[in-house]
Formats: sequence, structure tokens, C-alpha cells
Amino acid sequence: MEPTLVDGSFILYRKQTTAKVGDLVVANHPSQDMLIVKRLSDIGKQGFSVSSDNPAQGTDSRTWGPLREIVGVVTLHRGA
Amino acid sequence: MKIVDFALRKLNQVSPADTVSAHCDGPCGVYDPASARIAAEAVLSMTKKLVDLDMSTDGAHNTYIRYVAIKEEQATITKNELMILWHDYFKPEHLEAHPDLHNMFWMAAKQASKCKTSVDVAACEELMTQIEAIHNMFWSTKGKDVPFATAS
Repeated sequence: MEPTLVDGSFILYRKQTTAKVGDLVVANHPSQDMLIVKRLSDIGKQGFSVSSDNPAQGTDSRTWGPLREIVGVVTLHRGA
Repeated sequence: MKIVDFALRKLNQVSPADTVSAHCDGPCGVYDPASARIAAEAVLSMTKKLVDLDMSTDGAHNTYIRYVAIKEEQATITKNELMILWHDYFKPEHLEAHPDLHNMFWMAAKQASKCKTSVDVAACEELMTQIEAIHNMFWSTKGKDVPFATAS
């Protein structure tokens, strides 16, 4: 998610299940037990498509397809 | 904003925040069934050469062994590439649209094993057919119509 987020960045997020395209969103990884933070790029019938701000390095809905739900929306982020 | 940074750092010391990953998988995210197709094509090519080889010529035994060695190697690569696609690229949501997904990979991997342990052109052609089906399934998950093409 560079340059928006770097390793060690702090983020604050509000727990909610809706967001708008362009928001930084927190979601559950589709197949691993971990939280992820990505950019919401599209909302469709199949769910929430998310993208990486650094697409050459990131893994996102190009691989996973749309996510069924999101956990929250980032309200503040600060670099390490 | 330095006060914010200071406050966040202090807050994190008192009550450590959960870790959220922005990367979450292998860093490249580049997958393509072409890797499996190229290896399987090599297996097919070596098998045809083995069938056609005139064993009465000088050095034929050496050539035969070389062909077998390459066929073994490329069949193993085919299986490995299929496995990477299967468990790294494909996700549970893909299974909803392609309920035969697991069976397709299982059968293709078994077919690659058959090609590895035999000299059977028909088996290799069947492997190519199975990989073509995986190719079509893969690109449909990306919403792209990519024609299946072979090098030979």
C-alpha cells in the first residue's frame, strides 16, 4: 500500500460495513486468518473489490475477486 | 501532527494495536496457466521424439535417456505449476462459479504423473486438453477472453 502506508504505519479505523469507493478499508483476508487494509475500488453485486496503491507489489481483488464484506474504514493513518 | 504521532506511539505502548497487513501474500501476485502449458508442451514434445527415435542409430541410447530426463523434469514442473495455481491463485469464491475446480486440478496433476511415467502421446494430448480447460477457467475469473495458444 505504499506510498500511502508503509511498514509500521499506524492506522485508526471505524468499524462499519459500508464504505465508498476510494476509501481505505479494513477487511478479513479471504483465505487467511488476518486483517488486511486495501483501497476500495468498486462495489458490485458480488461484493467489495479492493486494490493496492502499489499494484506491482500488492495482492488484492485481482487475485481474490471481490470481498464479501468489509470490517471498517480508515479514518487516520500516520507513517512509521 | 507530531503530537498525534507521539500520542499514537504512547497509546500503542499502553494498549498495543492489532496488526493489519497490506501485503498478505506472495509479493508479485502474477499468475498465468501459461507456465504449466509450456512445461506440458515440452512433455508432449519429448514424448513424440521418444516415439519417433530410431534406436538403431549411433548414440540413440544417449539421446533416448536425455529425452526421458527432460520429460521427467518438465512433467514435475507441470505438476508444480498446477499446484501453485490451484492453492495460491484460486480462492473459495472461485469455487462457487467453478464447482469442478478441485477435480480439474486433481485430474490434471494425475495426468501429468501418467505422462511422466509412460511414453504415451495420447496421454500428453489429454494433459494439454485439461490445461486448456484450466486456462479458460483462470481467465474467466479475471473477466478476460484470452485464447489458448501453444508454442508448437
